[in-house]
Amino acid sequence: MSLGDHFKQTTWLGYLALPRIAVGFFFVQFGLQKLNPNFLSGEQLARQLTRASGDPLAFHRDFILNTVVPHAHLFGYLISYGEIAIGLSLLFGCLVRISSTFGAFHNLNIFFAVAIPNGGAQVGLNRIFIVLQVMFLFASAGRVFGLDGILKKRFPRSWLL
Amino acid sequence: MPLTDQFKQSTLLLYLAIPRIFVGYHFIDVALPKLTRGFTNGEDLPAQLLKSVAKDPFGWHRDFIQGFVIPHSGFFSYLVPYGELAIGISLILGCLVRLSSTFGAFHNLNILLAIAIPGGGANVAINGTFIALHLVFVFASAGRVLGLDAVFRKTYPQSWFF
Repeated sequence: MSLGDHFKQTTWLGYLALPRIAVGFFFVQFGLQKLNPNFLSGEQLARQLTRASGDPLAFHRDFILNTVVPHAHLFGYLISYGEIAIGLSLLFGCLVRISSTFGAFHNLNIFFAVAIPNGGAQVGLNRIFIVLQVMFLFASAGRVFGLDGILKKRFPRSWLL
Repeated sequence: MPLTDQFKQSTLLLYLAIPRIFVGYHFIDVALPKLTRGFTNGEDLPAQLLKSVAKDPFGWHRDFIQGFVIPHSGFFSYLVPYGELAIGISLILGCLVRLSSTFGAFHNLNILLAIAIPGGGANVAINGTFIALHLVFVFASAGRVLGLDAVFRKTYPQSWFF
């Protein structure tokens, strides 16, 4: 088998549906946990992000400490509702390419600002979620057991689906 | 489109090989600190389990942990780090992935029930995701791309193992 053929081996897209649904389920779960007045007011977020001084990237540390923490109220809403929206989109396979782009970006921010300073299971979790969401983006994982399959039939030439 | 046809749409196997390598890296990443920090002394494992096992959601699994794992923690404290190391190397090299992912799924299921669900937080999500991924690696034989299973596959084309 030539090297090109080696990389072009195929498998069933259905296999990607299982991790997609698992990731979506955990996103919804974490989003719902954050849907309480304590988090939405931004207090909890600002407290969690005090550890962001251990962020390894200087530009990202500045972004978190100078932009996110002062506007923690706004970001509290953005994070909890954003996580629920990404989770539902992954669960139902609806516009997965958009939602997993945002999801990967979201997890990347958590990875640098929260996971690396704290260590532990968070690091591995965010790392694998980033990798998986990039895979969903490339493979368009919503086309199987998801609404993207229906949308793809309606708009067969769209690169979004 | 019927569900089976939907399921059988084709995609690149490479999309499973890349998470496979990351899961393998994670297994080595958690196994090496256990080995260097003296996890094999047989005291850390029961201490960790005793904290959480009372909240294990399944009675039979709680009995297994309390009645078998904790009394034999000397043995299990070797099995856990070396097993994680072996599974991690196998997943990174793509060598016998179907075998190692079966053990990996079993390993993560035990952690999920005995430690993650009682403790809550990120551990639940990471073990749940890993179980799903291991099962997918077993079904799709993810070691066939970027892995030694491709070589074995050529030597034993009839085997269901690769």
